[in-house]
Amino acid sequence: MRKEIILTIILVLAIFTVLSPWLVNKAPYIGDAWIHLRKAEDIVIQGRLRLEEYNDMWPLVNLIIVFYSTILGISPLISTQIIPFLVSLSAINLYIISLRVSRYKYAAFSTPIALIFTPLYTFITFGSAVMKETAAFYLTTLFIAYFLINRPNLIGFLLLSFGLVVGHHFASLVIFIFLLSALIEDSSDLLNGNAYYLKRDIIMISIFGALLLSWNFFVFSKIGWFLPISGNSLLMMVFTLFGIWIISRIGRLSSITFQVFLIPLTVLAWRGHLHDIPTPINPISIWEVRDLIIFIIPALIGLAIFWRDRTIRSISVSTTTLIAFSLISGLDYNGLVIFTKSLHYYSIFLALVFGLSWPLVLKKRLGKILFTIVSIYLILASVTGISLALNGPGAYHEIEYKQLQELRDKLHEPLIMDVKLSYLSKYLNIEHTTFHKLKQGEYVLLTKSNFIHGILLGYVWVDLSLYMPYHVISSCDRLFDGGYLKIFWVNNV
Amino acid sequence: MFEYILRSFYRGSGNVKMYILTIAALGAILLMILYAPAGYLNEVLEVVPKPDISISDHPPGTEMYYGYLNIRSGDFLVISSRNTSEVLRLLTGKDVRISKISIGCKISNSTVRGYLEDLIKGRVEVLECMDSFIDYAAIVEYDTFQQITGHCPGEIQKIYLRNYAADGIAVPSAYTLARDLLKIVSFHQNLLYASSTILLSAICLILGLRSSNDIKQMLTWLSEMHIPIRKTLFYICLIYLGATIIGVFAGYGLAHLMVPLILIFLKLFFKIPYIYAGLDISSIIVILPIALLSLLSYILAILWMIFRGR
Repeated sequence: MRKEIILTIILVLAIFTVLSPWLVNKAPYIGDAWIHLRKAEDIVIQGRLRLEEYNDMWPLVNLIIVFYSTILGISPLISTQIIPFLVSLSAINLYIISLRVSRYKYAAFSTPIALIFTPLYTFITFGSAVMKETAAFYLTTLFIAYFLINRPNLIGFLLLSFGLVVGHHFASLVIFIFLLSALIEDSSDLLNGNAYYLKRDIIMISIFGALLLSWNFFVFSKIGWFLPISGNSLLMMVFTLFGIWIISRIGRLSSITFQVFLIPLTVLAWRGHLHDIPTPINPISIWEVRDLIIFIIPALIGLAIFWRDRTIRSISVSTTTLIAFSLISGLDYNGLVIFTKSLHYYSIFLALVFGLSWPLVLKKRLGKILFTIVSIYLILASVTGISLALNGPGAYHEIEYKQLQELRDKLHEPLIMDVKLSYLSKYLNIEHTTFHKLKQGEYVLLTKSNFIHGILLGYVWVDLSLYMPYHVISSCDRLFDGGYLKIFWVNNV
Repeated sequence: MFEYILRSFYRGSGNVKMYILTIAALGAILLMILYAPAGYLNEVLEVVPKPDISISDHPPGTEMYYGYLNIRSGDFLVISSRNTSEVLRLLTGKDVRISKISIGCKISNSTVRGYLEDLIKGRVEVLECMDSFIDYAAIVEYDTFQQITGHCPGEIQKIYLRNYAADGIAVPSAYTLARDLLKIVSFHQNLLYASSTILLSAICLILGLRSSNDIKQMLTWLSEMHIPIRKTLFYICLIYLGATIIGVFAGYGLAHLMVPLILIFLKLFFKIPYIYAGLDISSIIVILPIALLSLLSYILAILWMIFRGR
């Protein structure tokens, strides 16, 4: 009974964490939400699914929004939040994986806590978003949990694989590399006289690989080659996998040493210190470094203890391969895209090994007290991340949506705006162009975050003053000022 | 039977697993030593802009004649020199192989080609596209140029081209510095390659000898099970060959992973600009000598044990 209560509390915490941007700002998080919202509404109106462009090609997210909107009778805007809700259910999957590996319930509890309140803040910044990636995240963790079952049901496996494949290409790639790592481990086990999982894993990878290839071949035939995955990248990834596998095989010490070097690089890249792309993220503070140390040291201990476990090694090798690949493939735009995607899966690995360090501590006197203190500490430390996300550059606010909706019919000229606002404008059918050198007589739409974080151009953030220095803004006519949204008419440039 | 022998060789202190790891680790070290500096400098050469050429009316420099000549009712840029390949190198920054008369790719179907072919009574070579004005020009040797100017009207200019960095006018640029460093590295690379291969192969051999007791025990065991010696030998060779191939690829993977990561650390600690210097797949050839020497040392040791045992 106590176990169920703790798990429920963890689940509630997970739900509140990922839904916090919606609950506070009353608008979806990250611009992709508006794209998928539009797609979902189109499906509802037209009554059919169209597979025409990039955002249609992995339709899981759109279909989930439509499904819940239809059966619950709620608007598609509200039903977008089913995606973060599903992400929060990953906490249960992480609990199952951790319990299965460690067979120690307290350790299993700490794994979802570590995932939800990771000092890398991936759970809130990624989990709260309505994207293809997040729609596939729950299935990714479920797949790993399902993989640990000795005799998985074929129909269940097929459904899960198909869901992942139509969910997102990167999530499917993560699982494919995970299966590949498991297969390498199986081959190694076979030579030690243990062929228990080999046949099962060959079947699994064959089915999953066939589905993955077929679907992506279909996508390729429709829209052509899509970034960031290319033939060269895949080849590089295979060699990176080989390298990481060798490091993990040399010994426990080599695995940990490699992680000791990789984790700081990951942290620096995450906070914009490594890539040659300007991002509006605050530099990492000394307090955050402290939080990370408290998180990372147990994680490394966990890795040291469970280094020999085939599941942990497969998760470690696959997620580390992706994060290392993202760093070595270049510190440019493409590298940043792959890094951002890979980080979410790397945090699953870190959360798992963090949780797995606790069986050692909990056996000692005062172990449970220490466990409680660290868990509460992580929860409190993640407040920084939550506040960063709520007011960060990816956050939208209800007032922006409502005001722009009201203004829609009054606008007869195209507005100049950044990429962040263009997502919302595209959803509302507002004619717009992206930022360029301003000319007299043009209309510019700005929001509060443009003044705080700058202008988003693709993945690059630039300061507003680059396009609109103070003297230009002050000479503009302010046609609309709604607190968040402002429309300017350029007077003198 | 193969699986049984493979399993036997997979266990123990001198096992196949250790053999793969040794080749991979040593191969990766060799690749990192040899290619990280050269690869980095090569990347620098790609990124740093090349020094401009300087143009003068007076020597020193490579003389060049050019002009828009009216050939069969069309104006065409014709370039000439007593050293056309040097002129082309200075203008394009590439060492382009050039014949007596060449024309740019964009005018390969024009009247100028027919005219030049009639003039020399032979075929005119079309240069590869360079995305520059060369694509629209004809490059001819000086004697042919004189023949053309005799028939076709047009104003001729004579200039001297100088490599800005090479003639000592400019301070050494980052480009020339990287190029010179690359030359030094390339020079030492061969020496380093030979010495590293010998050293790393010796390490492989020592590791091989260390495992001899284990291998000996396994061979005795296999002979006690009445497995024919030829089959045993064939399977052992097959196992070690497979392990060598895996080791070579894993070594490349390891180096491919470590080189950029080390460069990122160099950027962080020493502010050395990070330029991606991923290893080319062809560099895998570098590991082959160590891998083959290791394979040979293992196989010879095994052969020795088998035949001495008989």
